[in-house]
Amino acid sequence: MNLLKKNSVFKSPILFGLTVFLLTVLLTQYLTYQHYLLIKNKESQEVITQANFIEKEIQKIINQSITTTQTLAFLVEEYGIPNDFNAIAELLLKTNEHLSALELVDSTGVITHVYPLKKNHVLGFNILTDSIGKDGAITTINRKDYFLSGPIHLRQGGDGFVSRVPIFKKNSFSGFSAAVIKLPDFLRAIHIDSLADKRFSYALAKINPDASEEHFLAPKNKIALKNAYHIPISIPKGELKLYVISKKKTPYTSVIIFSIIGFILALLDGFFSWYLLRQPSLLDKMVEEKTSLLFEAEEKFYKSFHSNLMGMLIVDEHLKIVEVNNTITIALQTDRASLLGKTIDETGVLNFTTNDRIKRRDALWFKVKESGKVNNEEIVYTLQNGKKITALLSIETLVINNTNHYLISAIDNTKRKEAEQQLEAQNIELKKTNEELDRFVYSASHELRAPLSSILGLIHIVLSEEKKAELVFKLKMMEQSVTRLDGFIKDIVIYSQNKHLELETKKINFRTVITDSIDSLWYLENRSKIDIQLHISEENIFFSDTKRIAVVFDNLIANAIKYHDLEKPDPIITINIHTLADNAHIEISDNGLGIPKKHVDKIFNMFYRVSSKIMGTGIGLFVVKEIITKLNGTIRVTSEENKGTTFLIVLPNQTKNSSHEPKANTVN
Amino acid sequence: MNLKQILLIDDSDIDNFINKSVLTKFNIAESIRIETSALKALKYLHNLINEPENFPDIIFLDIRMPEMDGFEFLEAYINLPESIQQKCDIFILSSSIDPKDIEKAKQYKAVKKHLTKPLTQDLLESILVSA
Repeated sequence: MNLLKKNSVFKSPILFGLTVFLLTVLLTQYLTYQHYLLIKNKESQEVITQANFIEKEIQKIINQSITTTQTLAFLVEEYGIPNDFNAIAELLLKTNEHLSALELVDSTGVITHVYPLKKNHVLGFNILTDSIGKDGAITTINRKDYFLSGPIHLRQGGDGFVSRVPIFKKNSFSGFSAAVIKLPDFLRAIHIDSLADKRFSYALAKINPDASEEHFLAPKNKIALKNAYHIPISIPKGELKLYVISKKKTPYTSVIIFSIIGFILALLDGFFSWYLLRQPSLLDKMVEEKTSLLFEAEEKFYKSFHSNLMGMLIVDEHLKIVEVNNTITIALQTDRASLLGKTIDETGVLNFTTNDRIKRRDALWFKVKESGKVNNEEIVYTLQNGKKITALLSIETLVINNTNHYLISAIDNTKRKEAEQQLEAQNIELKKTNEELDRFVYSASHELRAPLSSILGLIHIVLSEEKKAELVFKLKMMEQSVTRLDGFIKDIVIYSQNKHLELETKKINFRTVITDSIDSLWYLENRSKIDIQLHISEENIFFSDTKRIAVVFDNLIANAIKYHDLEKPDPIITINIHTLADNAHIEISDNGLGIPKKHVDKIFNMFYRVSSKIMGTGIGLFVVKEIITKLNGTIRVTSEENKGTTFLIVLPNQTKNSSHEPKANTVN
Repeated sequence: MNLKQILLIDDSDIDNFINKSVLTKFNIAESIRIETSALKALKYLHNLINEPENFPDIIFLDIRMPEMDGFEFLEAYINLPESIQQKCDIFILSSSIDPKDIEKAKQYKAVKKHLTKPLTQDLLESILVSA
């Protein structure tokens, strides 16, 4: 990786890929070129070999024709023209099979002898005057030596070669000895059956004196000499030129394919280099990211562990302390170094001397091993200095390096515990105060009522004895005042009860409650003159606070009686009660005086009184409203003056929501 | 009247006077006895165990009294022979409107009703009719 980082080419995968691509292109194209050269070389070698072979064969023919013509010339020079020319010629042709015919020409250029005559009707023909044969003949004379002329169009027909040797007698030219080689014979001799075989083509040309070439034979498919690989064969003692032409097309396609494959290879190579080099850099990036995440997580863990307000320690499977945080060391009044590597017992910071504590601790660890963890177990520890710590302990299994460890979290619960105890004590105190207050209210009310009832009793006695109208009138007023004061005290007590007493949910028997209520109102004036109708349909059992409901009925029925219109022929109070699963509907209506509109909104206010004529404290309906609020119910009033009043109460059935909390505070 | 004796137990002389007056006016009993202490009343009743014919027909009992209150008296009273108890109706007559007192009073079979002072002719009528 260091190498990669140091080298800038390796740093950039794309640059590296490009480099690899270029190198591979260079290499493959060089190899392609070499391959091309190799093919070329092989091809030329083949042509050269063939050319050499053909050259040798041609040389053989030429040698034959040299030997034959020179032999004939020697005979003529030494012995004159032989009489048995035909026999000698026959003999010579027999041994030199490639020669087609032998001729003798005299000094004037006339052909004097020919063998065989058949197909060679050239006797008497002057070659020195012939446009075709003249060049070769003259060249031969000038060279004074053997010369092969041709290929030419032969006088006797067809194409062929004529080799001549000049004959000199006493240094003066006296004619030629000549041999004719017909083209088909020539070709047969050099093993070229056709002018084009599979591998090579041939072209035969005559070199003119002006060095231009006269082509005699060319392959049918006319391969341009320029394009094909070719080798010319020239004969020094003649004017012929034979081209050996490679018929093989240079396999450019293979070279091109080679080149293209090389290019593709380079592309792939470059791509893979780029791709592969990219992997480590991607991996590097990922490792970097993960590492930073790990660092982050570690930092988070470190901070949340060490600066946690909850005391935390990690112990291994032998309960030896592996790590602690500050909160723990502070709570245990020790330092980190004296805790690490030891069990809590070994550190000696806690006092586990009593059996009870050891048992409780063992039970706790048993629970941890059973269920893997414990949650918020309350434990009391004793420090060596005797200080007790109440702690909430949570233990969780933690696997570190494949072994079980335990993460122990402890919250110092001492303060909470103290606060809890304090709260409990305060609650008890408050309850006591409340009870005392309650007792005080009753005692006070009793002490207030006792003399009042005595006064009332005395007034009644006097009234029963005294008949004097004026005195009776005054006593009645006294009685009213005292009754009012007494009623006020009663109301205050009931108000206090509603405020202080806790809800006491019981099954309600409306009939009993209402009957009791009506009975208790016997003392009210005109009570007996009013018809009270009860319609109760208790389809569902209804639960609520009986005492409070009784107070509600006491007040509402009392009001209905007190505010009655006795001028009406049939004063009546109708009470309808219908209980449902969720609530109870209570309707109390009368055909009494009714409430003037301007008062309706205020009747539930404390100390509010509609009429001064009728005795009241202004507390009754206020208490009713308070009670109904406490029972989570509602109360509505509809009233029309001189027609009557209807109170409609809806109270929730406490079975349905038995957990409901009263709105008002019971500890007030 | 058919009632032989009514016993009033109350530490208040004024109330005893009032109650006696009302009862006398109502003229329902041959005699009305007043005890200003529950202890004395209990002693008196104990003495009558052997002569049930002289046992009071009705007792009006106050609750808040010194030395022995109404409930303490009731605790002792229920130990008297059953036969004697059956002959007598006890009415609590108190100015207490403490529901606890009323509730507690209901626990005793011997207690017929809890009445709130003052005792009036109307009140008397209502209880005697129901009794």
